[in-house]
Amino acid sequence: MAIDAATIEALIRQDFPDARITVQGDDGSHFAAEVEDESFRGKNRVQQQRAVYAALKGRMDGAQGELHALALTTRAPA
Amino acid sequence: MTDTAATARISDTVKANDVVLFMKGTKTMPQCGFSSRVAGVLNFMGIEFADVNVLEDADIRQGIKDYSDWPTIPQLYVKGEFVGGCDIITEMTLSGELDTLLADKGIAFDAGAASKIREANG
Repeated sequence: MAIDAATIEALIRQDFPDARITVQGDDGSHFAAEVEDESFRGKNRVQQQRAVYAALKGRMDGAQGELHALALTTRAPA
Repeated sequence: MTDTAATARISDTVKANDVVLFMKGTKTMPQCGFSSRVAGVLNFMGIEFADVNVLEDADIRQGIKDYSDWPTIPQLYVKGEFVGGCDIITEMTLSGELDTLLADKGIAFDAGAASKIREANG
């Protein structure tokens, strides 16, 4: 199952409507996403990235997970 | 969902070892680039750690994701606490936060090797 960068961005956007989101990668399974959102302020990286994974709603999971590899970078705006 | 036996085994492993890496493959023969990168950093820094190959046990493979509420592997635990996956460990290695965490937790590591990683990736 392939997925594209625009789909990933749209999924993240649903949970983070005001974030700065950049998704790169076009091989259908390996992507790099950067998410900058005010809601990350005061949270550690595990908490920040857990929230992004939650937005992706299981697409990272399991053998049939569409997204094998998503390199995540998360931060609060400077 | 995870059966409780798998959760108990994970919990025992995480408590019995100061540093545990749940990974695809083993520390001497990783079978995924992300697992390989984290195991490589730990090996290079001379950190003693237990490796758990999730590919050998479907219950653990799913169970560890439920245990930490984290959907990807590898997963690093230090003194019973989930530290992060590949991206977080990479960032923490390059920023020096991993050194601080290990020092705070009383885990022995080669500080010179850690500096070398940062010099090579600076």
